Amino acid sequence: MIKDNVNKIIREKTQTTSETTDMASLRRQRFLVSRMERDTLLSIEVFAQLFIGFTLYALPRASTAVWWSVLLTLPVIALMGALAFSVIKKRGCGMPRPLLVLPILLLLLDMQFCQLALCEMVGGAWLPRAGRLSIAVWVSVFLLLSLLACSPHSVSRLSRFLRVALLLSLAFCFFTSLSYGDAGHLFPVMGAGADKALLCALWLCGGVWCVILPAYMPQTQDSLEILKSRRRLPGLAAAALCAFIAISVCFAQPAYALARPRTWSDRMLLFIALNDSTLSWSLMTLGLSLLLLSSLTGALFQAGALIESLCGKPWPVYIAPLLLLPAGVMGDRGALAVMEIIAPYRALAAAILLGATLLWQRGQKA
Amino acid sequence: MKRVCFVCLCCALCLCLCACSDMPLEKQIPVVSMGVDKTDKGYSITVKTPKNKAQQSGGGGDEKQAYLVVSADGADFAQAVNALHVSLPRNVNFSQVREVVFGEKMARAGDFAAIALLAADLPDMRLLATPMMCNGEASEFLKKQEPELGARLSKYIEGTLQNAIEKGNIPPVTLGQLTRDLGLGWSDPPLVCVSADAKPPEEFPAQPMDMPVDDTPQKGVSVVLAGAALTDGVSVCHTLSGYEVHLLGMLLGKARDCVINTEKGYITYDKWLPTRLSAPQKDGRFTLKAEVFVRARGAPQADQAYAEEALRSELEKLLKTMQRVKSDVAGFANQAVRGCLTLSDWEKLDWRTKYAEADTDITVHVLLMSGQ
Repeated sequence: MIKDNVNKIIREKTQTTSETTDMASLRRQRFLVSRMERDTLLSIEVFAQLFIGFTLYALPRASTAVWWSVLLTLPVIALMGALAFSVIKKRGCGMPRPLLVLPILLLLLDMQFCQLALCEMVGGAWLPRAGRLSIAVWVSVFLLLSLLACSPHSVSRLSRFLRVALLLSLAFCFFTSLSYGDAGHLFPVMGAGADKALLCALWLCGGVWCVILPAYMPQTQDSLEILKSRRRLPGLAAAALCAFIAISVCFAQPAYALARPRTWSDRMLLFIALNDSTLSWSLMTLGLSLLLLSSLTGALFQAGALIESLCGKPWPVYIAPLLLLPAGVMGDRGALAVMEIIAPYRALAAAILLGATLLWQRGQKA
Repeated sequence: MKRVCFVCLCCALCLCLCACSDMPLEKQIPVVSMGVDKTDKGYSITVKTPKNKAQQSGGGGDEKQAYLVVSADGADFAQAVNALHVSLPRNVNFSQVREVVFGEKMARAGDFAAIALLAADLPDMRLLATPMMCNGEASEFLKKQEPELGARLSKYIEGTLQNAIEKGNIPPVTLGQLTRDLGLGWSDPPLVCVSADAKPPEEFPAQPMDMPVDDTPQKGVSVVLAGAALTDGVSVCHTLSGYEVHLLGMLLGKARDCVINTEKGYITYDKWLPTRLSAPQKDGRFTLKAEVFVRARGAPQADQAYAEEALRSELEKLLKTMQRVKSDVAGFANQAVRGCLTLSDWEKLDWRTKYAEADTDITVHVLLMSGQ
């Protein structure tokens, strides 16, 4: 009793009342940092999906107008973000739980894309003589190891650091590739035509659906308050960066040469195709691999959280690498053809999801 | 701490990526030079690779030769590559190729662009290799080419090329640039002209820049690097002498200097300001416009107007030659394409024909320097 009183006196005498030691503020700061980390992870996911989209689909079709296509996704991101914010503001009314199936499915599609891109990248850049199956198994094993090694929060935390590393890598590759490019390569400005650019922009919009994810992810009361108070759109900067990468690719290669690379991995590395620096090549391949891997792992944990929110119990995320293995084995011939058709409809599915949620919330309010 | 671990992991992975592909080095044969010829039956690929110790000591053949030259034929390029892989005991590695030499018949053939693309697409092909055209067959050239200084052919090739590029006798071009721009880009990339066993000129040439660049001590067959082979989007269509390559460098504002033998003596032109190229269009007709800014010295009797006119007339002559052979090596298409909105607009333009019929307008601005 005496000891407790002494402790209480000591605590009262030594405890400061500044903001940093105030528990409520501390908790708020933690949530704020956590929010920033999740925003970064979302940005990385948007960047990865746009990069996958513009190298796989838009580059050979839109030619030098590819960066217009990427830029056109910016208003779509803004619109989706605004609608998602409306959903967040009305989260007090609850959420239609069955609708959570849709973002889970969309996240699974994103994961398939990341897995395919990762297999293509490893096969094209690092192990050109290896078979498709061995690459897919290798990627799955690596993914499994990363899942075993990290917790759901560590992926978003790591993405904060990865953002800096990725930006530095891209900047280094850009500056070392400048001498090989020419401003004339950016012409004709509309590339294969405005219609093609618009079509590619519509296709790319499928990759930015994930900006609505914060509206559906499970939130605590505190994190929801922070989410409501922070009017930021994490995908915008990522899309702008992707447009800059698209301009850099166009700067490096003339219009007709943009459609020449036969494989997807060659298109992913077209930016540094003539760069003789081994360091640039290493940084670019490593940076892209980490980007795809973190995007894949992030999507996996987000899907896990949504499933847990839907079913009320956690799902074994470790089976995900096995689920993704068949797509990796099928590669560009089988899976990609199907994915190319499905990909643009992700934006439509996201729009339906937002619309249905807003209607449901309005009904609940009434 | 985690960040430090992550940085360490990234650095360690970077080191892993710098290895030579997924094949152990002892199971590979590094190629230093590669040659491609067109034969009556198809194509012939020749590679020059360092001999290993066993081959040098008791492998037969000329023991003094440190390099092995192997040729393989095929009905098409892929078949010739397969035949080459079968002929050699280990896997061929093209990541160390310093030069890709095309025989004259190959370089002037209609399928040159396609073959050059296939050569560049070979696994691990070094895109920094210099594309060359030799007179005669590439296989013969590779057999004759030996390092005149030192023992390493790769180092010798690099040194000689660097020397020739610095002197301005050959254009700085790589296999990557050739395959990027040949038929696909806004300028027609040139190839380096090379010849083995070339006799030195008996008389001093009319233009001093036509002197072959190779001034190294001769101990065997002389390999001369001088001039460039122009392409027209499909194949080689014309060759330029060393002097003309200097002039081309002046036109593009890339050459360090150029000496012209005029009636009033030698005038040396030095790079001053960047050249301005443009291709304005009026009533469907293009004008190839160039503004060249140079410093001139030498020839005390020559005034500024004379120095300007001397260079202008030479540049115009060169440009007319390039128009005649339809080779846009200077890249005027790079300027003309800026007026087009889409690729279909560009295709409708029919640039090659318009380029050949275009007017020329070259202006030379000379800053006359006093003294010799």
